This record gives sequence, C-alpha cells and structure tokens, in this order.
Amino acid sequence: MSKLVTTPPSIPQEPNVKFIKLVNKAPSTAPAAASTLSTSAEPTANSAGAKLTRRPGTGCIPVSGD
Amino acid sequence: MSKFDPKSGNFNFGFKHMTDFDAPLAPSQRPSFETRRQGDILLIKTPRGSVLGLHSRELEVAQLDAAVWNLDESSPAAALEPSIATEIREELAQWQASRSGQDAQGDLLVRSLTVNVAQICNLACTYCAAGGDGTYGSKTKTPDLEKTEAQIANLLGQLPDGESFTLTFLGGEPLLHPDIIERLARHTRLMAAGRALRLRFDIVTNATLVDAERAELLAKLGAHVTVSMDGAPEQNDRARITKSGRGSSELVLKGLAELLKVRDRLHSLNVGAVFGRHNLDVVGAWKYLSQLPFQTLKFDFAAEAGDETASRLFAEGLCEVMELAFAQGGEAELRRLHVADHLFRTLDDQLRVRNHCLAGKNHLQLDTNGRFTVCQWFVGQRDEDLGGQVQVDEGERRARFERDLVDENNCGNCWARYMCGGGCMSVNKVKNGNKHERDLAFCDRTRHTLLKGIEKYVEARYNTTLDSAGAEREIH
Repeated sequence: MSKLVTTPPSIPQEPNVKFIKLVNKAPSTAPAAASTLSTSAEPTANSAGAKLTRRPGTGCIPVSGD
Repeated sequence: MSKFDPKSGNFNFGFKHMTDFDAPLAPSQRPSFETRRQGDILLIKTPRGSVLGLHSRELEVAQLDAAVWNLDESSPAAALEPSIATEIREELAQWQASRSGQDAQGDLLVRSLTVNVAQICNLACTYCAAGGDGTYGSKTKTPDLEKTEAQIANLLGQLPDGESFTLTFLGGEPLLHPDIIERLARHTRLMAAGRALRLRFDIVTNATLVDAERAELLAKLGAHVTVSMDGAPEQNDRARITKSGRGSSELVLKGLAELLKVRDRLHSLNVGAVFGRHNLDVVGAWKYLSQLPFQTLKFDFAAEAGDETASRLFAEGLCEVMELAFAQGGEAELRRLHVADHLFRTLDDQLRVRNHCLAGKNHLQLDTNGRFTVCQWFVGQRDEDLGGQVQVDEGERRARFERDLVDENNCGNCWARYMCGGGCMSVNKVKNGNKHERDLAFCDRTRHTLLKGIEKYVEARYNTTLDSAGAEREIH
C-alpha cells in the first residue's frame, strides 16, 4: 500500500500531516500557496476583501448579490 | 472564440477544432463518482481513481492518500496496518474539528429589484416563466411608471451609503419598451445622485429586437446583458419560437451583432440557456455557445413533473461540458460556466452559501400591476403576493423569508448544502406544491454537478500551484 497521494502534493504541509493535503484555505487565514490543517482560524473577509453579505447560490435571478 | 466582422455582420466560427471532441458517452456508460461520509467529511473517489475530500461544513477541499478510502472496513481493499489506520483516523478527526468556513451577515436590505418592463413578448417560448406569451396571465402590459418610480425611490431610500443596488429589466421582452427602460434608469440614477450608492443595471433579453438604437441605450447604461439562447439554431428553435411558430435564431444573431458593436461599453455580455425534457443536448449547446463572445454561460434546467430522468441527463451533460471546457482552456474556460465559477468562488472564499438565491431577502420582483413578489416565477400567484403599495410590508416579508433556505428547506447535514444553498423555491413548488419541500431531482443533479466541479477545482488548483512551485513533492 502506498502512502503517496494520488497526485503529488505541492503545498507545504505540517510535518505530522501525511494523508490529507488541503487544496483551499480562506485567503485571510492562509498565505498564498500554503495550506495546513487549522482548527481555530476565523477569517473576516472574502478574497476581494469586500464586506461580507449573504451570498446567493446559482439561482436564476441574474444578480450576483455581492 | 468566434470572430465577428462588424461590416458583414457575420460570425466566423472556426469550427475546425471542434471535431476533436470525443463523442459523448451514453448515460449508462458514464463512469461515476463514489462517495462515503465520515462525519462532516465527504470522501470522494473520482472516476479516474483519485481520492478527494470535502469538509462539507467548512468548505475545505483536500487531496487524500488512497489509503484513506481503504479505511472503510467494508472495502475489499481494506488491508491497512493498524498503525496507519490509527494515523488516518487521527488526521480525519483533526480535520473534522477544523473551523475556517464562515457565514456572512444576513440582513434584509433590498439590494436588487427586477422590474417587468413589459408583460408581453414577441416570442412564444414553450417554457417561459411568463406563460409563453409574456403576460403572466395579466392584461396589464406595462407598469404605471410614476408608481414604479416611487417604489424604486423607497427602496433606495432604505439603503445606507456604501451599499449597492441592482435594477434588472425583465419581461416579457423588456426591449419592446426601451423608453421605459431609459426612464426608470434615469430616475434611479437621479434618486441615487449625490449618494455613495453603487448602481448596476441588468437586462435579460431574447435579443431579437436589438437594433443600433437599443444597443446604444444598453451601452449608455453600462448594462450587464444576458441573452437568452438555448444552443445552435436547430436546437434553439425548438422551444424559442415566434408567435407564428418560426425559429428565432436568425433574429437573435442579428441582435447579438448589434450588441457586439457596443461590447466595450457593456459591463458584461452573457448567455442564458434553458434545458429540460425538450432540450437535453447540453454538450451541443456548449460547443455552439462557447464559440460566441459571451463572458458567462448560464445553463439552467426547467423543472416539470416527471423530469427525474431528464434531470440526470442534464447533470451528466453539464459534467461532460465541464470536462471539455477544462480540457480546452483550463480554469478560465471552465469558469465561463456560471455553475463552475460559482463553485470556485465559494471554495476559494469558504463563505457558506445558505440560500440558493436571495429572493425575499435581498431581492424583490415588481410586475406591471405594481405588485411585489420575491421572484419572477411567483408573479401573478396570489399566495406569493407581497402587496402593491409603494412600501413593501416588511413584517410580512420578514416573517416569510427571513430564514435561510438551508434551514427552511430542511437540508439537514447534506454535504452539498453550503454550496447549493437549499434549492429553488419555485422548483419545489412546481414539483411538490410547497416551496419549502425539496425537489429530490434538483438535489440529485446539484450533487452530481458539484462532485465534478470539486474534481475540477482540485485539478485547477493543483496545477496552478505546481506551476508556481516549479517542482513536485511527495508526502512521507
């Protein structure tokens, strides 16, 4: 049995994390191209730094809402 | 992307490369995703054999060691050394405890209003929200503009500075009355003058009436324009027909040519295509529409009774389109698809989507009788009426629409809930007679599409990171 992830990872991981490689992380809590398992981060803004308002799904109303 | 010749008014599509696409698989032959749940974590085995993970509450996505899939004792491949299994369980438990996703503030400010400029249409599309003739069954073809202006002014007056307000022109066919669009836009700008409000104008049009004058009007508004078109002419003309039963594609392409002459002054130019039992060639539609110079392609499914098989075929077609788009142009081409762009933004920002749309919360609809509902699908329905006064009954609106749809529609711990937002109230009502009773076909096609989107997200992010890092690494 291999311990390799299916695709080789490229994001630096915590030394004790072997099996789970995070792909995304809220921008306000993680530097670019870095991602680790975090348990306490509380981001406050989205990637554009905009005020957070409700975000709609893909509903048919042609308005982004944010 | 096609090349448009403004002199001839024709498009040069350059179809040559399109013959490179693989023939679509029949539904029964399509490889599928396998999924398993571990608390909030969804384990995903892709058709290519990769193992991915989604933290459904925190919207985190991960690549997983194949061994994680084998943790399931029922799996025939489960032959993990006890120490390895223990390590995996510890990592999953640590991930399960993760806290990084977030809920945005949920106020009830109306930041978006759709106005039915004309409840009449020059087309007679078979699936139209407005009943095929654009009237919604009403005899009132155009709104009382003084009343509409007062209603808009009232909504603007409730917005604090720094907010945004979107006015969407809808119909029927709104460009039957460019004079009304111009007047309402001018009024809205006047009401917002001197205030720090960001205005946005949207229009959804069949484009068949776009001439130089109407195109110039939309350019002056810097409008976001969505053209309704379901695919190549032979596909589009099945449902999008004139009242005399002729196809509309030729007129649409003429109108599109006019819009392209002012493209640099439009905020965006997009296409909306509708699928359903009448039209399930999602791949064919994408091959055609993606060659036209649209910024965003929005593919929707028209729900109707007994649509379960069609719904799944639509979802499978959309998944195939995602594969083709990604193969053709990577993340940029993939994200021309609205559904993919939305998912990527959601996962990038890890901002939970708790409502499929903002109807009733931050969005209202106004019909030609001056009556409010929460969306265009509810126009003319007495039980969905929110009154016809200048001021909306805020108590009624709050009582009926304040709760987030993921809660109101009992999404429970569905892994897709914070990417989907609880489903469509109109679809639920069409299928079940109750706008808060989930349509299971909707849930199925949403989850199906999301799995493909998550797979593509990982591929896109992985490749991007690899490029910037310049080297591969392994986990040891």
